Amino acid sequence: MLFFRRLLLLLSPRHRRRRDLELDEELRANLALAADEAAESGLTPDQAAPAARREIGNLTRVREEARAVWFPGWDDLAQDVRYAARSLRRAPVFTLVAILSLALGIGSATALFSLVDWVVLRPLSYRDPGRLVYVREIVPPLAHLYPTIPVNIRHFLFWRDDARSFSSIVAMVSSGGTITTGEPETIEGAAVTAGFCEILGVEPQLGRCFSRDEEQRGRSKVALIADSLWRRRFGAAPDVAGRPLVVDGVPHTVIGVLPASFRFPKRDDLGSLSRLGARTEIFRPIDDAGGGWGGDYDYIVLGRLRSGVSREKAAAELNVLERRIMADQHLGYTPGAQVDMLQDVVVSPVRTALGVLLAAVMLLLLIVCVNLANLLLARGSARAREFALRVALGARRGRLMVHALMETLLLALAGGALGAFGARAAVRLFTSSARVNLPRLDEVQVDGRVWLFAFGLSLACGVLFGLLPSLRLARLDPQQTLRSGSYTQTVTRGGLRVREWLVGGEVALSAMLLVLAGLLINSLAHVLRVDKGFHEEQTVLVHISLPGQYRSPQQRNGFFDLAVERFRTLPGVRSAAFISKPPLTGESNVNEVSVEGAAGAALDPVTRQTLIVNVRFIGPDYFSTLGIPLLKGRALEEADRQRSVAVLSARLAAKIWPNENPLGRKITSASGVSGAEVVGVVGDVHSSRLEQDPTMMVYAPFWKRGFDAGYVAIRTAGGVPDLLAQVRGALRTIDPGLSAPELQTAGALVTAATAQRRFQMDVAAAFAGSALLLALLGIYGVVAYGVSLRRREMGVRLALGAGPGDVRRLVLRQGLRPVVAGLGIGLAVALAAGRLVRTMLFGISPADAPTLVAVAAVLACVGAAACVLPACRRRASIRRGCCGMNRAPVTLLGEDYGTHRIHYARPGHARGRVSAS
Amino acid sequence: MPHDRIEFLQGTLDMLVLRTLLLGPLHGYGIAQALRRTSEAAFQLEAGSLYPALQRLELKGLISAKWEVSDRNRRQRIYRLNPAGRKRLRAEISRWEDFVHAVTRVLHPRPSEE
Repeated sequence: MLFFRRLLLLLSPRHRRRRDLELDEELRANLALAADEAAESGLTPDQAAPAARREIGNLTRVREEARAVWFPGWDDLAQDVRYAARSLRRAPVFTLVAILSLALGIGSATALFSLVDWVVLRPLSYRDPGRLVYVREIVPPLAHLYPTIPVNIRHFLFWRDDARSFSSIVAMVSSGGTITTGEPETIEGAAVTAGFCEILGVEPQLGRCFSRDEEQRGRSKVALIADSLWRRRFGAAPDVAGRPLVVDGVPHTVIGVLPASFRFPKRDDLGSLSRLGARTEIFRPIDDAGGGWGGDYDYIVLGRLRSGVSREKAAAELNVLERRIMADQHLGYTPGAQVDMLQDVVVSPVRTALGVLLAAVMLLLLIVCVNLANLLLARGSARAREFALRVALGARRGRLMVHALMETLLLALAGGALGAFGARAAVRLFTSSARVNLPRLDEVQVDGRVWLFAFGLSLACGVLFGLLPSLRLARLDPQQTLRSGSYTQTVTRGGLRVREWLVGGEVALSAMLLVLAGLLINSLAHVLRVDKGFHEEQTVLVHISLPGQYRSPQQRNGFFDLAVERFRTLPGVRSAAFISKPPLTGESNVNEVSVEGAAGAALDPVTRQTLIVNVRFIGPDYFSTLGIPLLKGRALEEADRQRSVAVLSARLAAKIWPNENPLGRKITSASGVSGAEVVGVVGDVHSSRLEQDPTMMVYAPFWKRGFDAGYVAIRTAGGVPDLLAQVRGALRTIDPGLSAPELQTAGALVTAATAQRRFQMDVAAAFAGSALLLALLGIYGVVAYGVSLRRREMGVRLALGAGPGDVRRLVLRQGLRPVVAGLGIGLAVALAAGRLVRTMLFGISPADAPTLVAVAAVLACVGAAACVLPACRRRASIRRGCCGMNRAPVTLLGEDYGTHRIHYARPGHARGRVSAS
Repeated sequence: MPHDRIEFLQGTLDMLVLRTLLLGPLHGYGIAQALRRTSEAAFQLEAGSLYPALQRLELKGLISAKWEVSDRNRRQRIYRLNPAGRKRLRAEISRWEDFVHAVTRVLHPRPSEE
């Protein structure tokens, strides 16, 4: 009760003011009362007022004392803060270094925490996300390559009818289109089953959601649009529901607008096989028209578990249904169902990487703290006399500790505030310009919870780096400190030992960070060195999607033929060719393959597992345009328009026919390749991640399928500055109603494929660089201090005939001792913790010897440099030769006594004076 | 030479204020007067002690205050004893009496029975 009243007074200035005024009024009223009584006792009004005032006393003091009751000890605290601020102002360089390094550490930690918090820790922004599950299927023939794949919609229909575990379950699939109401624009979208809104817990801000009967043909031409599309295309019209919207030439009716806060998974948030658009803006029902209920494993299925039903129970139920499906549809294998929490699926690919980076930044922050503790100890030895004097004058040691801690807390809070603001700016910049595809990145921001984290972290840092120095100061023996003319003798070797420990710790932490950064840098280098299988330079990909007017395959083929022809004649263009899906943009048309004359699917000759291929549909010149080498036979050509032919990638050909000539053989795969004659073999190309083996690929002529969307690859002779404008112009001459195409360089595909790795590496390298700098500073400080402590000893050694080299070696040996110890410990810990980062590496093991050696070498060099510096600096300042010890030992000996100059010409005399002082 | 003031023992003032309020609601000045009267002018209560004590008791919830118009037609802040204050007063009084008995026994030992 008392506590809360005090808290209220503390937190609310309004409350405090009201109380103040009340006290004032009360005092005045009582004063008047006293005056009344004085007057009644016979004094004149002139005499009464002063009498009353005498009776009450000094009003200001009364007020102050009454107020002091509110916060006992408050005055002490305010005094401590003022005192700390004053003493910090007296050491501006130290204060600046401390605040900046703390800002760096706390800011980085805060920024990373906001990423981890928003991306990994916070529940998904859907209603009751703890019950939201992601269902995938396990198809035994594919399971060795793809443990789980998206769902077959027929299986989904079984589940929806019969599964009891879910209160609702929906299927969806990426499905965009070109809007031709107004300026043509191609947008990304999704086709979904009814219940989509309920399962994600989203209410349209306008209009309504889909109903079950809108899955039926004839009623399914309705659309739910995203807030962004509503604002862009409809000017945020409130009466948008019921308006027409032509998508791919088919009139749809807008039935509702989703709220701006609604987040739909993007890109490969749900796995690379269920790739979604970067910005899904239109949702339409999946209908049974246009092959919507097809049999491919393409559908993302989300379910909401009934209360009390576990993930495992739901999976068990689905698996029972799967066996029925197998019997029903004569599949030849029994598919399985896997049920995962949606949050785990979205978050798990980035959890390790973000966790490791957060750990790295904490290491950095720890280094900052150790470094500051070190600096403070150095300052502490300079302030030992001040503290000793205060102890001697009767200051309580507890109070002195509070003083010392107050300083570090002030520093930490100032650094933390600066860092947190920096983190906010950095996070804003990062989320708005990120080239990294992190799930939920658009939600990331610095909010109250993150501020609180920064605040707590600042307090922790303040205590952490302030505790040791303040303990040492408080333990000081005032008598000894004050009696000895020079502070160096009291802080002595004990202080040096502590500081050496700190430096060792700092080096160990830095070594860990450097190892992490080194491993990541090496991994990226390995990834970039992977043979991608195609030319990145001078290759551009144009993505074109045709509006719905292009109904027949002939029309569509005709368009792309014409586009390729027009592009080829543009100035500076060497060649152009159609490709259904370019390299590094993910896998698609994933199938088994069978060979004519052999029963069943082709198997890997070694593992006896089914070979899984991707099918790509291309036009003539594709291989030469992308620089994919032709190894055997010929490429596809114009004459293959009516023929059934295929070109295989080298790995696939070698797996199917290890020792035979593949040319002339016939293969069959789904996706429209049946009995195709193999006419050529080309080099391998990566289709999704560079870290994986290149995809086994079947290339077939694109004319057979009649694509309504695809890419045209263009190879230019050199830099063509206005290629985009030229491409647009060329397309407009074919069809002015086409939406603007997207242009992407092949280099950008590689960049995108390595962006996450680059991001990890950049962050880790920045941390490691900062750590190295701090370590340099820390080692330097301690060695310099150690040298200053031992100047007298050095002088004696020199006087007795030691060479400057001896002394230098002594300094180096002394200074490097903690560095070497720390390095050993750091590398050992890095080795032990290596398996934590194994999944982030490529091409090297966590115990990569070159990396470890390089880290050791770098740290040793930095350590040695930091040791040599203080010695040499002395030369510059006092002109006494390198390491300051090769001349004038007399001065060195004399220096320790400050003003007492010793004249060695008369040593006896001098000694007498010294001992007397 | 003015009247020798008796210094309050720590915590005693709070008890005396509570005891004074047991007789009925009163304003700050009234409390000071009442204390002087009942102690036969032994206690000259300074404002610098009284008002902090009132603030403290109020914060602790032992007394509560309200602005009221007094018999002299002036607005005054009138203090009342809360139930918690009543309870505390009982405890304080018995503690005080124990203390006084103990001190008295020490100062005036009863003659030994033997």
